[in-house]
Amino acid sequence: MLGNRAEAEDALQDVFVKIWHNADRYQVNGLSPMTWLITIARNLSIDKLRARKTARGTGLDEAEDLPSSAPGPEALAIAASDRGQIVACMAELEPDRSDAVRRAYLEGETYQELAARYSVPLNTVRTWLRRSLIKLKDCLSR
Amino acid sequence: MTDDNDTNDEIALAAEYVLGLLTPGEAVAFEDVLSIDPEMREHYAAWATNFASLTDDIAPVTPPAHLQSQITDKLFGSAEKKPSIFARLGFLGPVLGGLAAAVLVLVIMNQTNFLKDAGPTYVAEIAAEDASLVVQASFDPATGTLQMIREAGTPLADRSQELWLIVGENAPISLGVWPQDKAEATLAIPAELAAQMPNGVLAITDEPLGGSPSGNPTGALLAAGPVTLL
Repeated sequence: MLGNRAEAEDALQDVFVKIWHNADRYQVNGLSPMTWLITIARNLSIDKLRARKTARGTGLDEAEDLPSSAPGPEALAIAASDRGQIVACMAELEPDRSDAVRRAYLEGETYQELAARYSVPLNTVRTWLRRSLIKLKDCLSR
Repeated sequence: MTDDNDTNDEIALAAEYVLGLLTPGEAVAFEDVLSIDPEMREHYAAWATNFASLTDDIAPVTPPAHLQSQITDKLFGSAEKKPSIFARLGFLGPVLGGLAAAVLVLVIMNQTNFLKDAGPTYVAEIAAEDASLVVQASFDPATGTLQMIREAGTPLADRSQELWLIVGENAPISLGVWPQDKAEATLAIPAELAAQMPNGVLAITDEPLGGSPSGNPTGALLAAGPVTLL
């Protein structure tokens, strides 16, 4: 997500420090250990990505320059079971909507950035994304 | 119909929260709802789980071994007498994707006994209400060391952040000034203050460069959090 090894290593340290400090809260948050860990790692990475964008005074398009990573064997093995559903449901959305969801989750793009990317007003992007999320939920609950 | 709309709103809001699309104010309001509404917690957990699957496409990378010791240093200080918890557990293999990491989480959770062996450790999350400043603190009474990591918020260029210990109704006691331009700080706590730490509240105020000139807080209270036993 960070596209930079040193920063990813920093983030990894922060993730484990955070997990250690928050272990007592784990049982009440209702997440599986794996999801909890991924969520902490993802949120920390997004914080770093956003800080980086602010620092450079830019925002858009940088992530596109990063090499995309192909799934490794483990990822593919785990993926086969759980992943099918969200992937299938994302595919039911219009391509730019599922793209926006991915960009928000994996690249930390904000409504402002998504609005600029798709050249629509912020409220519009929020409305269509919320609608897409509800559609996604309907599909996931099937 | 109204019920459906309400539910849809909740579902969309929970998703926006997980995606990080809410403004800080909205996110705090959502967390308040989350703490009292089990249905919202279910929405939240479902989204967190589903979106987490989106990371499956990211190829696993084995982190270099030296990170382990850096992490334990961050958590427990570089005190040599404490063997690395990871080493003790034989957790030396590479972290292969998330699976091994999940095992580590479980191991950490089961490791409270280790903490008891090493004596109690106290922690505090010193945070602003809107999370604009968040500092994780960990205090080891055995060494009198207070370790802190600032996870969010940076002080203004020409101001300092000062850390205070507040016990009951007593006046705040200065523990030190956060080193300028650092995201981490380690403070040695004198024994007489260390004894008060477990009942205290840690607070951070905005002060003139170099800290409060009077020895008492002069600026705004930026963040606070109670000290709790880990």
